Amino acid sequence: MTADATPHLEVRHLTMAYGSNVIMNDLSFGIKRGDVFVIMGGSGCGKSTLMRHLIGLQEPASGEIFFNGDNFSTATQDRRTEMLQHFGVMYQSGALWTSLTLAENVALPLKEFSPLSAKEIDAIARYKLALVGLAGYEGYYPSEISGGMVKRASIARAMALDPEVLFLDEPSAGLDPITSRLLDDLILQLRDSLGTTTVIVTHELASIFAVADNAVFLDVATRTLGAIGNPNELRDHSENPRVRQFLNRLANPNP
Amino acid sequence: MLKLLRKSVPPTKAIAEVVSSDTDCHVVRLAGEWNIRASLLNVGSVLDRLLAQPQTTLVVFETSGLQSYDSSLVAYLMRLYVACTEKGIKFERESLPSGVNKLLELALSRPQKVAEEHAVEIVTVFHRVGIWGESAAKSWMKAVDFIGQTVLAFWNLLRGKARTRLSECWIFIQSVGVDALPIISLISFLTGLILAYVGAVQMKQFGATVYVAGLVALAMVREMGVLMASIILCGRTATAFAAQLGSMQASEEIAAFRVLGISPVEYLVLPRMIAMVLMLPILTLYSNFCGIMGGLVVVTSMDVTIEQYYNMTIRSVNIPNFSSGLIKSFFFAILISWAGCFRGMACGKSAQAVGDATTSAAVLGITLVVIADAVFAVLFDAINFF
Repeated sequence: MTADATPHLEVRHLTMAYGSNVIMNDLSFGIKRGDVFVIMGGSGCGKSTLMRHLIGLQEPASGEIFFNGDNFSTATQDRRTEMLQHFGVMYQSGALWTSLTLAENVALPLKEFSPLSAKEIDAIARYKLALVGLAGYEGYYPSEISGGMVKRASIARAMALDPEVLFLDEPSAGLDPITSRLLDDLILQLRDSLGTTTVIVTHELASIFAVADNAVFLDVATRTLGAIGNPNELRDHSENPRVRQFLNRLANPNP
Repeated sequence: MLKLLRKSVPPTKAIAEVVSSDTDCHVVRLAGEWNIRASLLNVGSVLDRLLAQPQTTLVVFETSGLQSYDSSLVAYLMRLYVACTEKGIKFERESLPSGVNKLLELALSRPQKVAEEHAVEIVTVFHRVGIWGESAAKSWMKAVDFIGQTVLAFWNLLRGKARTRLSECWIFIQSVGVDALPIISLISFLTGLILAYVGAVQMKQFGATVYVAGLVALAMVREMGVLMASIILCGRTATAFAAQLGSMQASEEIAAFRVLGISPVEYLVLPRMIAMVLMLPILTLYSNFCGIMGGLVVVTSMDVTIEQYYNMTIRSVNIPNFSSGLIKSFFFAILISWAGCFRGMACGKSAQAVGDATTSAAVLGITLVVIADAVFAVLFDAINFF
């Protein structure tokens, strides 16, 4: 593995704001190649907003984002499009294209960005859907399947091109415990076999402890980075009482 | 263990070939770089060769030449695995690199839903007519049902029992009426202008250009004013209603009202219809005025004074003429807002469905308006209302 020191993704002094309403101040952290990295925090703290910054859907109010050591924030549109090809994104609400079947949803990125033949694309789409437990549902439209299945199909689409970085926004919310567990296994297996870096936005504790190598905690009280590190260590040894509260599921910060 | 190499080694193609075959055992060599973004040209023939020999019972893999892989390899192997399993050929998964084997395992361990073949429909002419008839009947039923719901909602409103938000009306009055003023000004002014030119060509020959005033006034007040305003509202408001309600339908907001015990027709449709019924007559008056102004511009350029034009206009428009347009505008308003709301409430759950709903709202609205106008023309003639 190319074990170079540059983080796969790096955020430097990022401030996120909607107009004059500052969501988070001065975030700095790096995500190592092959890490399963969790962005956690209470509801409404800006987890999804941070992800939207990382994939370029929103521009930083100040600060920069680096991908493979290249400045993503100041890159030209062409360069940025090139970088985005290495990202796979699963959106919170699925965002499947409703006029396409599940197989066509997964196949669309392949058709556009790989020279594979229709038969090979079909095989890959089937495989990706099988990975998330949707084998046999290739011909279904998003409106014909359940919410949890939409979520899983969206993950299959995010994985279509074997991205270097896989972004998952609340992947296990709304999934049953078994499916959720299988999803955790899948994330770890992708990391082990293909070296995929995974960035997950979630507040499902079980999932966080099971998969995360590292995590950041966005502290809504101070509007900045609450803690960074391995969640198992943070749970017991974090200096920030709100981080311990969050990871231990406590009602009060200082029991 | 094999790891994915991302650095640029000169690309070698993905290779999958049968290297040695006993009568019952095949060794398949996997080699090269398997990259989802590169072409997989020479990997198709293995399956054919395996299946060509019926006595094959075992497939083993030799992977020492495999430089890098991604999902393209796993997807390929899965296809092979499924085919082999069907033929009862043993597929030696353990001979694969452990990462590949695990990824394959993950996909295969999930419950497989047996793909149900959609039954092949035999489509004959009768079949088609039947399907068409059924869907036409269903959409009529839906329309009748919605008319019923709307009438019931109005009845509840009159009894003071409707759950609705009449304050919402102000917002719709703004968007239906005030916001439409610029476009109505332009279209009506130009309509009056066009009518004046059409009339002037004829009247000039008799030296009676001043009568153009009467022609423009009569045409605008009886027909064109209300028609133009109605068609504009079909285009900009009925479609907006359909899109708003349609996307609410798609995101289950309408279901949420229903479950709360609030009739979505009372809560969402009533304010829209009320706003439309209040605004279309006013817009019609305004349209009449703009049209007459358009005529004025043309006629004054042909040696008719403003005073003459004014007198001629007053003289030719009587109360029945004037009110016939207004009476129609009241009914058209009901038709247009009903068409928009109906199509929105009957919308499906995809982006495509919302698009269809807006299109058909405009088409239905305009169709209803023109049909109703024809009915009124016959009716007014029958009762000598002019």
